Amino acid sequence: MLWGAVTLLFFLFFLLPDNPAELIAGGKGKTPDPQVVKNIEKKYGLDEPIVVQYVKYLGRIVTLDFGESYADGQPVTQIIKERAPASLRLATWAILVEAFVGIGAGVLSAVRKYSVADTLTTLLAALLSAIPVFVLGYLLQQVFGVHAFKAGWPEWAQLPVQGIGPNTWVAWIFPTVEEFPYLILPVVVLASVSAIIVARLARSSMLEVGKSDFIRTARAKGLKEGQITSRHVLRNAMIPVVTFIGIDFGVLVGSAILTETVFNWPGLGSKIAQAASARDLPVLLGLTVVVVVVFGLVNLCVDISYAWFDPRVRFDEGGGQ
Amino acid sequence: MTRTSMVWRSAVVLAGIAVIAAGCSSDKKAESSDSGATFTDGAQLIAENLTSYDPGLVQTLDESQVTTALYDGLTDFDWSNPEAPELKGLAADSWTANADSSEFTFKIKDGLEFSNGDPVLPSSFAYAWVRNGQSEFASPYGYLIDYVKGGTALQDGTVTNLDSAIVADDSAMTLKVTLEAPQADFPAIVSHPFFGPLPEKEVSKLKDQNDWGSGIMIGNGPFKMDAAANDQQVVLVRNDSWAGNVSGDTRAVLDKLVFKISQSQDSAYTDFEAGNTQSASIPSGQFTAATETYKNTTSQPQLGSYHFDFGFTDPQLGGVDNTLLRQAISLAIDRDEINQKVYEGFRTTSTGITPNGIPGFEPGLCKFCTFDPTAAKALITQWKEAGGQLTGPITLDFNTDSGNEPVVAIIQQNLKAVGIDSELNGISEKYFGTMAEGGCHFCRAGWYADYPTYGNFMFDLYSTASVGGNNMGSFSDPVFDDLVNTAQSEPDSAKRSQLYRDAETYLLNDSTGTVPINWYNGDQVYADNVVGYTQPPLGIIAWENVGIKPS
Repeated sequence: MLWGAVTLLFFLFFLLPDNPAELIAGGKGKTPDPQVVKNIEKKYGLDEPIVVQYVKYLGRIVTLDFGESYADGQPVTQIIKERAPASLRLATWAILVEAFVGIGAGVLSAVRKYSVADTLTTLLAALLSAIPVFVLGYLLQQVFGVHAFKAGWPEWAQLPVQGIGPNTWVAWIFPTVEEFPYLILPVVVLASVSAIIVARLARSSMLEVGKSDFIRTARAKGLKEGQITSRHVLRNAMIPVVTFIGIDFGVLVGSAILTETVFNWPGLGSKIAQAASARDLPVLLGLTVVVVVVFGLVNLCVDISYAWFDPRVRFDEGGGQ
Repeated sequence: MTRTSMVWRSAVVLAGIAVIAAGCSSDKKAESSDSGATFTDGAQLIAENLTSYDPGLVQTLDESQVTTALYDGLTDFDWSNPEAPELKGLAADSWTANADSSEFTFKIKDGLEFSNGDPVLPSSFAYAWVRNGQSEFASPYGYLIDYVKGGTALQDGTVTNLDSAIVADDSAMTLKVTLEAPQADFPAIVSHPFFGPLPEKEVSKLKDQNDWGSGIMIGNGPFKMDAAANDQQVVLVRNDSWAGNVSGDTRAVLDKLVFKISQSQDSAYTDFEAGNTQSASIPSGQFTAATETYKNTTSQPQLGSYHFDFGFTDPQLGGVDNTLLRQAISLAIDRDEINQKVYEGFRTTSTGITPNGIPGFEPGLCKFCTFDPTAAKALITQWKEAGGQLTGPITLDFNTDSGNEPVVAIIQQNLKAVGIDSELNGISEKYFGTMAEGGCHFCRAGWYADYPTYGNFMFDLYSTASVGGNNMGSFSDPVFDDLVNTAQSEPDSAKRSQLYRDAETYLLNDSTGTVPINWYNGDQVYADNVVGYTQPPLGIIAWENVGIKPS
């Protein structure tokens, strides 16, 4: 999978119309000097045949050497070290919010079917899924950043509109007091749409499980409704929800491009977007490798978690009768 | 306790921590309110414009804001009078030139130091110039070394030093430079960061020269780096060993200068409006609102020109036979309409290519830059009577990523009104290269000065030597070339300016190789408590003068 992604991106890159050396030489805003372009091509090996560049690149990434950014000469491993934790932290908090809000709302909707809460959740789902991420981000920035500042809201209610702040963390994902405000708006935006999907998924899954024979049996045996919901319905309804959340985590780590860009969050997604725009192949490939690896690991974790949610699922039984 | 309830309880604890942390959120504006020492800039650094702050690699105006705060070159312009800037020695005490301006000797001031205490010597410049010009360093501005004799060979890797062309005498504190060709503006050209000094002892230690720009660079400017730059900000602090600027200031006002990096002008402006930065660029379309809301905006003329060049390889538009048609096109365009409708009136309708602020500038050089459709129609009639004929619509070329669409739409309407049909040719990739390679018909062009000299507009944009480069319309005229070449070797600045003006007048009126549209103006806004914040014509802010009013 990794090799396939790298190979595909590598060769697709060279189909793009712009020469990266010309862009580095200032070709986006002026006519680049031909000798300068030649020097840059030589410096980054862009004067060699594509196949030679490809073979050399594969040889390097085996030793985790992803090369240097064409744009600023920074080693790609350094960029990964700086940006991957930022993306993982943002994605982790977004997933936590998504899971708690989404599952909570889903359970509420399922338990109180056709109630006001259920209707509200449905309406909110339609509304939030219709608002593009950058619009939602902009609105929140205007309300909690610009308006809050101009209207003199209390300091704690005025939220930073961009950046990661001091980038100080305790125990990996827990922000310090100074850091916390910087996390709020990006997490809310990143989690919003997915939380609604989780809610709808949890609701429909719970309603489906609620019709099962073993639930009817539990009711017949006189178990309380709360126990049935929490111990039997919820747990069995979680498999599709967990699958979605797991896949979503992988997506959020590497593809939160809009949210990271709107809030200037220094993660992988915004850097991948920048690298694609600047034809910065080493950065594009290096960061893609990280995203693919994270995506693979998350999917593995999701598969393993099935066994916990549904004891009928076991991996050591050969998968069939 | 079941595992499920444990998870839920943990979640509640996490949420609790989060709420407590939010409640304890620190005062984010304490540092910038009344300390009088820290300025947080949001106007200068947009992520996509950033590559390096290394003086040898820096290429955008954004990056130059940082680099010029860190490094002082040989010379600099005194912008006390923005309309008549004066070139003065910065690290150079004085300079002399030979009769044809092909050899310069700079006398370097005694006692200058880098921020680490190393002396700034003539060899600090010689070392930096050769390092920046070497082929393996691959500087985007590497071609600047071509001014120095043998520089072209250094750029193509044929030689590795310029010992005979750049002679540094550290005991006499002189730097003698022999040029490839006469260039009277060379003392102005060396004000570019590319020609700044470097502490050889530190830089030569590096195996990879790219590491200099990504680490804590040592310079001789009013500020020094507090930490290595990252993707979020660049933090500078006052350099107490700074020698001073061309106005006589010897100490930066600010203790700390923070350049905050944004993803776009829009997000930087939102950050400013939210009180998190003290300056921002005003995004396109918000000039009127910004000037109504904030009283502190910069609107000084900038050394930038927005214009359209005629492609001289286009049989319908190029050549001597089509001069009348080109003049008619220039007269047919309503520049004021473009300025009002597209730029909210915040640009200056231009009467030439070279803008106000360039030494030697004079307004009103262009005879065909006023909106006069009647005169345009008369010229078209004359042109047709002389045998001219349009065989099809003329092509308006423009790059699609820079907001040119409304401009070309107005031009298309203007041309239609005088009977000239046109078609739009929006190009998204390799626009400038395509135009330079003969693709220009009537093509959108623009230029922001690398250094404030008349030659940076005339020679770089319209000389035959620049065809295939920044001369997008492939304009080539021996009369024009002769005037520019004579100007380049003229040591007397008044005579030099007159020669350049003659060249520009010829370009605009006799050949009509280009159609000026407007000149750029300052476009930044800053907070009420900021003093000394001005945007000089070259766009580089004198950071040493910026301060915070005491509360």
